[in-house]
Parts: sequence; structure tokens; C-alpha cells
Amino acid sequence: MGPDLTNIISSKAENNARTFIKYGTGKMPNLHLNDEEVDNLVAYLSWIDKTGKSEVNDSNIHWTGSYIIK
Amino acid sequence: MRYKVYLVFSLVMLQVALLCGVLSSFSFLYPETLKNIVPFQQLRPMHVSAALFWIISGAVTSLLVHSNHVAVIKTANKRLINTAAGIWALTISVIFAYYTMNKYGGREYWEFPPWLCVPLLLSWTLLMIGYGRHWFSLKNKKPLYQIMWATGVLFFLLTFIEQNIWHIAWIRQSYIREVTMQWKANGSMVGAWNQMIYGTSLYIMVKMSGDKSIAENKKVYIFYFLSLSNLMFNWGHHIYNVPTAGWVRHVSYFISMTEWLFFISMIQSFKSKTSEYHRHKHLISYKFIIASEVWLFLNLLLAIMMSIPAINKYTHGTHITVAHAMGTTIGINTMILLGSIGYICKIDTAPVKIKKAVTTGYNIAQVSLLIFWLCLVVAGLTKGYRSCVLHIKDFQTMMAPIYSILKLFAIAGIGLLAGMGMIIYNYLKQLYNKRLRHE
Repeated sequence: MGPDLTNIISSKAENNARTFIKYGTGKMPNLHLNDEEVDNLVAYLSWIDKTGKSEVNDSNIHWTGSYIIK
Repeated sequence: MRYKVYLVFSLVMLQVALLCGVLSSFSFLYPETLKNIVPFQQLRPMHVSAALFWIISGAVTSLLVHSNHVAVIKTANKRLINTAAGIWALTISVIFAYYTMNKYGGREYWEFPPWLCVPLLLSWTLLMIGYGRHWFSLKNKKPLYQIMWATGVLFFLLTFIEQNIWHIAWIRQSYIREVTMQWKANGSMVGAWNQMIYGTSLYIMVKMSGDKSIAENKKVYIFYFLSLSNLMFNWGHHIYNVPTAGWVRHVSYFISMTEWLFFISMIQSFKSKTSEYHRHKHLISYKFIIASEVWLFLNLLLAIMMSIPAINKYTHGTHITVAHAMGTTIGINTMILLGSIGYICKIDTAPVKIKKAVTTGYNIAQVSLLIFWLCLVVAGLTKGYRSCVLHIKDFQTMMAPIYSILKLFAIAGIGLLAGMGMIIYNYLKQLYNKRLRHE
């Protein structure tokens, strides 16, 4: 299972994310994307980043088995 | 109906799913050396699509063969069904051709160029017309398996359309809206194929026990309606992590448990009514049904736990979700389908050599699946603890202890490939043996 990419742009900064996507890393493959494809992917990830935070805040467990975010 | 061709096609899909699954697990573990030889990003969609098409194709073929045994399907309807199957198989072949050329599209689980959904839809529509006409002409629609098969076929169409609703621009405009729809549609689709597969399981139970009342009593009808509500509403735990109304979580938690109770009840009543004689007579098919019962209990526990929002918070997006998906698709769906195909190819009347090989394959597959499943559960618990309790931000640091568990998981995958491979190979041998060919 890969890392959560919801907030990757704000956490890694756009330029770092762009470099990772373009060249890959030890584990992540280089998908040989052209500049336009990289731009589109970064734009998509930036759009997702603005939808909210993926990490659930601290919470209290409710007796019903649900939880209430602090 | 050329059912053997479709059964072979389904079994080939299973074999491809297993092979791609094993290769991709090693590619994931050792990307530095394997990512260019067996690329994970290419193998994953192949694995997922092959598994999906194995289950759907196997479920449909099984229900058609069994339906034909109950009441012969008329030639005109058979023609439609054969055309549907031809389009289905051809489209899937094109999908895999695209995958080998590194061309993708669509959405999760359906990662091929989206225009290929059109022939898949056409194929399903033809199947529905052919099977629907046969179904409406049936004099006795009372046995629950008949109702379940029809429900599964109808709801697959609805959920397949729903799964493609992202083509509407309004859905795509909001990421949360689209994710919610995707996860909802895929969750309900599982319910649709479960109707077809559990219907087949019920049919085999009736045939093996010789007791028609198993499929025609008040209790099973009540449970059928509960499972139908499940199909429509049990997707709630798929979307706990996206912003939804609070009541959705509680309603779905309550309803999601009922589908499992339904199936347990079916098997329990079957067990109490089946005589020892019948058990021995159909030993191999029965073994697969018994295995599905054991896997049902294990996955029941996991599903209940995952459906509690406070626990789901830790398990969502971890390997526990994968354990749930693998446990149900391999442990329950695949075991029932292999039992059904074994029943169709009369595996219990096969030469001793074939029966022994299938039994060995069965034993290897069960042990491997148990290790495989436990590894995923332990890996998921570790990931949930390290990410949600210890709040380790760096992905590689968080995953470090999990990689060793996943090595054992990948080895268990080889066992699964070997065990299932033995079953598939011997089923094919039996399917084409001389005695069956004349029937």
C-alpha cells in the first residue's frame, strides 16, 4: 500500500513533488511522463490538496462505537 | 451453451490474477531490482482486473449452467447469451492488450480506457435479455437461488452504470463527490456479485442434500430481504473517511452485519440437513463450501470490526482493508465458485489421480491463504498503530517493520498460486475428459 497523497503537495512542496513524479525515486518508478503530463498530475494533486486534510484529528470514542472529533 | 469455453475463460482469469498478484507483491517489496522487469504499476491493474473478471465471469457462467440444469434455456436465449459472452471475453482480451501496452484510464478497479465499458455494458444488456426472458418463462420461481441470481444480474447492471457515473461532468467537479460515488458503487457491486455467488452456493446445497426446503422457507426469504438492504446500504463503512452525514455510519453499521448472518444461517441449515452419505459422495465440492464457511466466520469478525467507525478510523486504508477484500474474494467467493465449477465438471467422479491432486491443491491453498490473510491483518494493525497512535509522518519509517511481514505474505502468495494452480489445472483436465465431452 502506497503513501496517502491527499496532502502531498502542501507537505512536500510543489517542486519536490514535481521532481519525484518526473524522475521517480528508489522505490517509485520513473513513469517517463512528458512535461505536460507532469503539469497535469501536479495540477490534479494540488486540486485534491485543497479538498481538506486526510489525517483525522484526535477524537473521543462515543459509546455507540462512533467517534467525536475534538 | 458453450459453457466449457466460458468456464475455461474464468479459470484462466483466476490464474492470471494469481500470477500477477504474486509478481506485483515481489515488485512492491523489491522495487530497486524489479521495478523495470515486472513493473508494479502495470501488474496491479492486471491483477485487480483479472480477479474482478474471474469472479464476475465465474459467477455468471455458474448460474447459467445451473439454470440450464433446472430448466433448459431456449435456443434463442442461448444465442443471445453466447453473443454476450463472446463480446465480454473479447473486450476483456482488449483490456489486457491495453495493459500490456501501458495504456490505462477509467477509475480504480476498472483502470482501462473507459470506452471499453461500452461493449461490457452491451454484453451485460444482452445477457440480461437472454437470461431475463428465460427467468420470466420459469414456472417455478420460488427457490431462493432463482431470485438471488436474477437480483445479482439486475443489480450488477445498476452498480456498473453507477460506477461509470463519473462521466457526468458535475460528478467530477467535486473530488469528494466523485470519491464517494466510486466507493459507494464498488461497495454495492460486491453485493451484486454476492447475490449471484451465494445463490449458486444455495443451489449446490439443495442439490447435494436433496432437500428443496433449504431454498424455500420463510427464514431464507427474510434473510434475502435483509441481504438486499445490505446490497443497497452496506457501503457506509467504505466512506467513513469522507465527509458524510453521521446517521449514514450508524445505519450502514447495523445493516452491513446482516448479510453475513444471512449466509451463516444458510450454511447452518444446510449442514444439519445433509446426510453423511451425501457429504462423502460430493466430497470435493463440499470441501470448498465448508472452506467458504470457515472464511466467512473469519471475515465476518473482520467486517464487523471494520464497520465500527471508531475502529475503522485506524483500519481504513491499511492492509486490514486488503485482508477483508482478499479474505472475501478468495476465501468466500473463489471457494464457492471452485466448489461450483467442481460440481459442474463432476470432479467427485474424476479419476483418483485428479481427485488427489485437487485435494492437495486445496490443502496448500487453505494453509497459504491463512498465512496470507493473517500477515495482512498483522501488517494493517501495525500500520494503523504507527500512523494513528504514534503519528509517524514519514511513510518509509512508518512502513519499516511492515516490510518483513509482507515478505512472508508474498511467500504465502506463492503457495496460493501453487495450490490454486493445481486445482485449476486438474479442473481443466476433468472438464475436457472424454466422459464429460459426450454429455
